[in-house]
Amino acid sequence: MRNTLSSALCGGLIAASAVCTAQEYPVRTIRMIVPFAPGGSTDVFARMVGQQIGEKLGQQVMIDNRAGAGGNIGAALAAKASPDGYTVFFAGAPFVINPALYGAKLPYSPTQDFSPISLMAKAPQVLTVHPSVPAQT
Amino acid sequence: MLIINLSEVCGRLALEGAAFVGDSPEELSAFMKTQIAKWDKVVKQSGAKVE
Repeated sequence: MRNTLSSALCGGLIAASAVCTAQEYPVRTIRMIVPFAPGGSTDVFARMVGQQIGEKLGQQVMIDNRAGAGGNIGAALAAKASPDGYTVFFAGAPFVINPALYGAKLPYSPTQDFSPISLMAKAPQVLTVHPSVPAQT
Repeated sequence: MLIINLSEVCGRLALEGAAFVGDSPEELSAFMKTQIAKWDKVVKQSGAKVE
């Protein structure tokens, strides 16, 4: 399938299972874990979404950058967070690719440890080589 | 409840060649399942390993 890479998950907003009373939520700062370094495209987008969520909910959304291990460090941290709605995870494509790469060594389950909220965006991912490389396919 | 300011978000995403989606939890859940299955196949067929 030629467009395999183009449909990769870019940014999905994922929460540790939210068990909270709607009337009271949120009463304190929400932590949004971003498994990438500050300044990258996912981080910039997460900050924009976090700011808007914060303004709507009347609570600050704190961005917590936890880069490393292909996003596994941040994801594992989010998976272990209290399922109270105060930790949300801004996933990228590795979130659905790493299960295949790491298998049983993955320190979290993307389907069992997280409650999906919304796919925020899709972005193209392209593979390029220098024109002098004789590759044809 | 859509709480995203679409014009601001879409404008920023367009700079990156990306597109806003903003779907439901059920849709994201289904999308994740198909993506996990797809990448499982890709990794197996390619023999890709973590370095």
